[in-house]
Amino acid sequence: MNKKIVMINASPRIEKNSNTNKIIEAFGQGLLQGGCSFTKYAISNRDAWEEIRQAYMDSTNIIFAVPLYVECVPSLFLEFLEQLPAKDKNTKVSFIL
Amino acid sequence: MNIAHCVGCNFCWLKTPGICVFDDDYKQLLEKIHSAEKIWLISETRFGFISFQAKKIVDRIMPLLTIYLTCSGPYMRHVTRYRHNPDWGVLYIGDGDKVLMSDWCSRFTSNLGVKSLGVYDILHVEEADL
Repeated sequence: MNKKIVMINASPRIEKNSNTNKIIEAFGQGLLQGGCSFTKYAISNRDAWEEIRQAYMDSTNIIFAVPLYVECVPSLFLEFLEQLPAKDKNTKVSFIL
Repeated sequence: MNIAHCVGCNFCWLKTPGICVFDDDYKQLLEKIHSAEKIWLISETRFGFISFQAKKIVDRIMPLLTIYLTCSGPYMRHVTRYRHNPDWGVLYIGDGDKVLMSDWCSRFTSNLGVKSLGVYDILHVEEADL
């Protein structure tokens, strides 16, 4: 194992009130126990978007944690996804819904 | 129009029921949505789905619902705030996943207790089954 994981909180709600963040924290504890390390980001902070894009580009293991907004992903997350550059096929992406 | 993203603050459910914290152009839009019989959402497509600008409009309908839940068949659904809600349909342009969007439109309209008018590709005009 010993993988470096980037976890991106796709909730528009500020991180300190985000239930998705609690799930990320719990999931992160599991990753640590499994010998992995993780860094987490939240798209609710628009000022961090450039930094998140950079982390997305630099990492090969990415987990998006997404709350349900009207039967789909939040509009803010759709906006964020639109602005992500293309990546190669070595990158593994998964979702926590 | 200047429309903010819904941030899931729940004020429209708990603190100021029926009123969104954002005092932007959506205010007048929500009044129109609430009083309409039918709504057609017209959108470009991204990732096979409606654009974030269109999804924004749908995400902000929360003031029309309440935080209360009720069982409707196999689903848990929000209790709507008002007796009347419009039916919704989607007209799209571009490389949309019609099955995905139709399923989504059915799900969210059933949450409002209304009908889905269906999802149609603008470039392949069909008669809407109203």
